[in-house]
Amino acid sequence: MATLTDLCQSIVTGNVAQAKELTQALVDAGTAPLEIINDGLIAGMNIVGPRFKNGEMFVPEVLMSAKAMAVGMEIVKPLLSDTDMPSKGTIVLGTVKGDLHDIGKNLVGMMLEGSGFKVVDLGIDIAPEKFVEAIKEHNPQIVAMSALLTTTMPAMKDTIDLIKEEGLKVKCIVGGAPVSQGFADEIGADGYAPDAASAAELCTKLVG
Amino acid sequence: MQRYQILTQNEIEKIHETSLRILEEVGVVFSYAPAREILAKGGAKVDGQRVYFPPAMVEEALKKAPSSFKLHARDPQKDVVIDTKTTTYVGPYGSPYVIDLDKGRRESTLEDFINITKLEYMMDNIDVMSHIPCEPNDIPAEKRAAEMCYLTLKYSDKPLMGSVLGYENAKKNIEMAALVFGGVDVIKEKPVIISIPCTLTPLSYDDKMAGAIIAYAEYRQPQLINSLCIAGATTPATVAGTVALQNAEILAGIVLAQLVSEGTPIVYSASSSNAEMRYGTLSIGSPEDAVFSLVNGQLAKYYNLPCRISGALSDSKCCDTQAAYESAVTLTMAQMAGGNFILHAAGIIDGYATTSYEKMMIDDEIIGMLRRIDRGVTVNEDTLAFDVIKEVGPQGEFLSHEHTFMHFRSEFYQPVLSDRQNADQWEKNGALTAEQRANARWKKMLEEYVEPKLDKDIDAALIKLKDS
Repeated sequence: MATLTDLCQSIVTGNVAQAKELTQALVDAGTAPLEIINDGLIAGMNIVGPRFKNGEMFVPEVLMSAKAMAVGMEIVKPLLSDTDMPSKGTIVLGTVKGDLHDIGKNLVGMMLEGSGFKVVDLGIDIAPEKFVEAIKEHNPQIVAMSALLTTTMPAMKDTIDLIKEEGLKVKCIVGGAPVSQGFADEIGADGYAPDAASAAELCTKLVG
Repeated sequence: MQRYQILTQNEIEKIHETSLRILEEVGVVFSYAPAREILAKGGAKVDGQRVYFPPAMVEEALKKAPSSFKLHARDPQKDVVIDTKTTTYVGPYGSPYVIDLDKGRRESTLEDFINITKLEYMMDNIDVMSHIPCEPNDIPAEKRAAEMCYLTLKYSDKPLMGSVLGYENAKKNIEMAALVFGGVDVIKEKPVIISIPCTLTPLSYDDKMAGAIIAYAEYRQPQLINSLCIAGATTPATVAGTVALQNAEILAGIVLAQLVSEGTPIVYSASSSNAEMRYGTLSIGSPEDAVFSLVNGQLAKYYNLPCRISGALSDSKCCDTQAAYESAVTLTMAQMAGGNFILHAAGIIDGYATTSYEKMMIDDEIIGMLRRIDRGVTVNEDTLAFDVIKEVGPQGEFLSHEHTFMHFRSEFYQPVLSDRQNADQWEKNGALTAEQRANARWKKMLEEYVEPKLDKDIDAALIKLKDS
């Protein structure tokens, strides 16, 4: 018989097929959906997080764990109302105007989802106005901006300036290879993360 | 010269065939409509932004690119021949930060840009100016391309690289360089500015880079069609899979350039490395970078094209031991693999994000050592020195012999930075580390720098074009 411990383990090992199977089995056996989420799916990610931080697990493994969690969530989600869904918060994510690089941003999105955030990914080449529109629509706690080019970094400042001008209450964070803490401070961002894993940590801290 | 082969001919052909299959069955996205039009006219199948290449079209284009060309310098003595045998070393390219022992790491400014441009000019081992040894962050982004081209022409008379930030920027850079050499018609037969348009991995070209390929080809200026794959992130984690994909991207760009202008000079440019899986970010000082160099060196030779690979690359955050050993390994392999145009041959640390003043000097030494290794060994009657050995005989010495006097300068490399004194002397001379000596050396170079002469009228015309 499927147990929550088995499900938790399938998340840790990144076994997507098994996570799907076990979640379904637990649902069929009448286990409470919230229990499946908290003691199975999230419990698994709670083991993955520290292992990743210690260097025992690597990015592709964490992403596979996140994928395993996501398939489980897909099964359990319809059984819960929106208000019952545990979520750390909402994050609007995008690569800034003029920049077409999306792999780093996608990685951040996956890591954020894996650590329990709802992520609204706007995509690439996102103008400041588009960010503002999305903030008004989704009401996130955090807006996360990415840039890989030194020539598009100024668009981060433009976006933050417009968000402030519009008086929107949201924390702004920035990242990408040429971006630094110094640059983040200079343009008035609330945070900077050097890589995807730290981005998840930073967001957890910012909403905590 | 290529001295190390990691794959068999059969394996190289398998990679080539897979790349052709990727081009035909998966296709490459070109967001830039003019590029798609050219490729469609040339026989590619276009579906939306995606372009599919018939293998024959690719093979045909590959035959048209020359295997050798001369890149002209303002000082003709500094002209550089880029071919499939020799190695040309080029400065660091595009770092948004600089670091030195005195002021630490900081956003690079125009002052740093000029300093490092002067160092590139002063270093005998640097053959071609990268034109962007660090970002002049205090110049507005839209003005940088023209400004950097002007300053590189002004502060150096070596050949130079030019902007790839879109068709217009590329065109203006080419026209600026042409001004110095007698106009755009002259340079069509006499390349003077080389560029590095890059793919947007995996399997796409953005507007800017496709535009740059077209601009450089229109003026028949050479270009490094470049792909930087991050194995495990933007391409498969396997070396073979990454190279197959990377090769497909490069071939697509070569086809575009040759369709614009048959015979336009190309450097096969492959700068892939792997992801550091603890962070999901690019790692460049890795042994995999060196493995990629070896494979790509062989692929370029297979196509009979000059080859750009790797550099003196490091992920270290400062000019330390890690920076030195990673650079020595990556640069050595780039040369052993048969690299003909080695960009980032000096100064780079921090995964391309930072240029170190001191490491410019450290790498200068590594290049010097590699040039010596590349020169190889001359074997003839004189160098075998039988008569000398006979004359000196058992228990003699060679230090005072005329044969030694005649040969040591050409046989031995004389270090410019390394310390070979005895320990007492070294202590007496201040017990300086390599980093400290490097610090003193770049400062001395800047003090000794003399600006090469540039005709007043040409200078005025350049400024006018730059600001137009």
